[in-house]
Amino acid sequence: MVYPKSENKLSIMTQSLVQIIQKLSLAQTLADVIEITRKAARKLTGADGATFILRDGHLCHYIDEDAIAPLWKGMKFPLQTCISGWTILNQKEAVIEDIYTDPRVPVDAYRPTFVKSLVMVPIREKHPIGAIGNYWASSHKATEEELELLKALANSTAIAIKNVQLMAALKKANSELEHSIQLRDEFLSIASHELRTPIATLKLQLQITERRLKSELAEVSPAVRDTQDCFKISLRQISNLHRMVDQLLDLSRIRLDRVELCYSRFDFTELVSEILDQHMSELIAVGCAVERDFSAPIIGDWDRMRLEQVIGNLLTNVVKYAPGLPVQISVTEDEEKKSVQLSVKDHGPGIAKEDQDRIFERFERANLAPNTGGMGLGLYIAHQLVKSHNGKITLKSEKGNGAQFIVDLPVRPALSCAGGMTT
Amino acid sequence: MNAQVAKSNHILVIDDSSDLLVLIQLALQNEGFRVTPVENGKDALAFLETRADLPGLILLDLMMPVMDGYQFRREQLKMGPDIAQIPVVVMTANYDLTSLKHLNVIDGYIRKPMELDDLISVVQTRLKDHSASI
Repeated sequence: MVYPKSENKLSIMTQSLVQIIQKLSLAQTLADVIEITRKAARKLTGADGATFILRDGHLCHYIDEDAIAPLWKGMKFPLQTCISGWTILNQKEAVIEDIYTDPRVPVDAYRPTFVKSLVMVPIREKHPIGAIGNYWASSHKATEEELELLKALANSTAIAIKNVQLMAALKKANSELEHSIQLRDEFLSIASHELRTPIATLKLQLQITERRLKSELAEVSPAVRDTQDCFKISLRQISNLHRMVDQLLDLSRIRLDRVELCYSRFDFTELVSEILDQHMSELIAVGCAVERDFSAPIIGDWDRMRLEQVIGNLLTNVVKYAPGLPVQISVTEDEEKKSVQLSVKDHGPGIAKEDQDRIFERFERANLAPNTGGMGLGLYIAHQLVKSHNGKITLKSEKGNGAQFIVDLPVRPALSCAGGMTT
Repeated sequence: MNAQVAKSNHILVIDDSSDLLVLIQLALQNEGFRVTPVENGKDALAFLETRADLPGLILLDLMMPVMDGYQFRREQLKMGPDIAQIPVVVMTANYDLTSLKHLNVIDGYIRKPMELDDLISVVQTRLKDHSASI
């Protein structure tokens, strides 16, 4: 019976087409597309040969082929003189049973070949960018199915080529963007490095003079007290400046997820203690009573410098937003989960539920205590650095009822560093 | 030569910022130390070479013109044990500590901007250690 046989054949062809289309959707380069298509074009119809043609200005370029004998691989012909050109210019397929009787075919070009019949379909329906040809050595009138299969292939090829072009454009745009970002980062790095020297100089000078003032002057007259206050103010402003410069540098390095961490093994509890000590004078100066709850050492692998910043940023926020009130700092280890928690709990104004997601974003600031500046980066940076360690920061707070920041870090986020690890 | 280093109260400070040099000198002199300030690595090497007055500690800035801290350190280590063994504490505004491994083992680092207290305590600790190891 003819019917079941041709039905079978069609379903096999359709399955083939599906596979080919899947392959095309994964093609990364034009060469990939050409390679897939030239073989597919012939396999689909069982023809004796297939060609892949791309339009090149006013020429047709027979880029590649798959055939029982050579055809025109690598050759170019003016659009007006060849059947592929006709297909491209007229934006429709050509089905030719006998090439020697069709006026559109340049028979001289065909005489040295095996071709007797052909089908040519355009790649892309509107303003075709090329064509796919199928050739038979004997007289053959292409069936409806063969034509439909070829057209489906040609359409998929058009999409695949568009894809490849878009990917190339995207890659180029990305690399230009990367380059700009790199220039920006280098600038920020140099700028913040340079800014540190005058800051260091001013800071040292103020501290030396403040110390001198304390030790040399036995009597504390109003004039002396005023002068001491001036020094306190200057030192505070220098601290602000220092912090902002650090944040600028960090911002340049935190580009979405690209932070290079350098892990080393140390005691987390000891680090928290050290950073807390560093901020103690600031905390005392604004009237924050500090309660510590940590003792046991917790050894793990983290980026020490980055965690210094995280802890420092949280403490700075306490000074900024909850001055004059107690603050509880605790460190605990969850041995089962192999993680460590740092909790910084203040009794300041708290953060309303609707604002809680926002505060981890860049440039978000609440109402600040007087004399403190900030660019709204502290929590954003802390969040990014904790995330880079595969950890998380959570906030528990109610408006009017203080805020508790909990930093949760795995004890061993990654392998130790031998030169930095990019995550 | 060992005896000379053991009783040293003398610190060589190398930094291209002359203002900062003045202040570090002032800060340390207030604590009773003797300070030789130098503005670049080349002059520092020339000073050490004379062996007229070897310091017990070197405070070394890294980013300097003419000769930077890394190069100074390389040259220092080539100069005979009396000079090579002088402890070095690096002062750096660079917060990326991975570059410090290029200095060979050093005796510590201070980040700029520094706390006056930190500067003094690091100097006191490192000077004392070295004297103790003789």
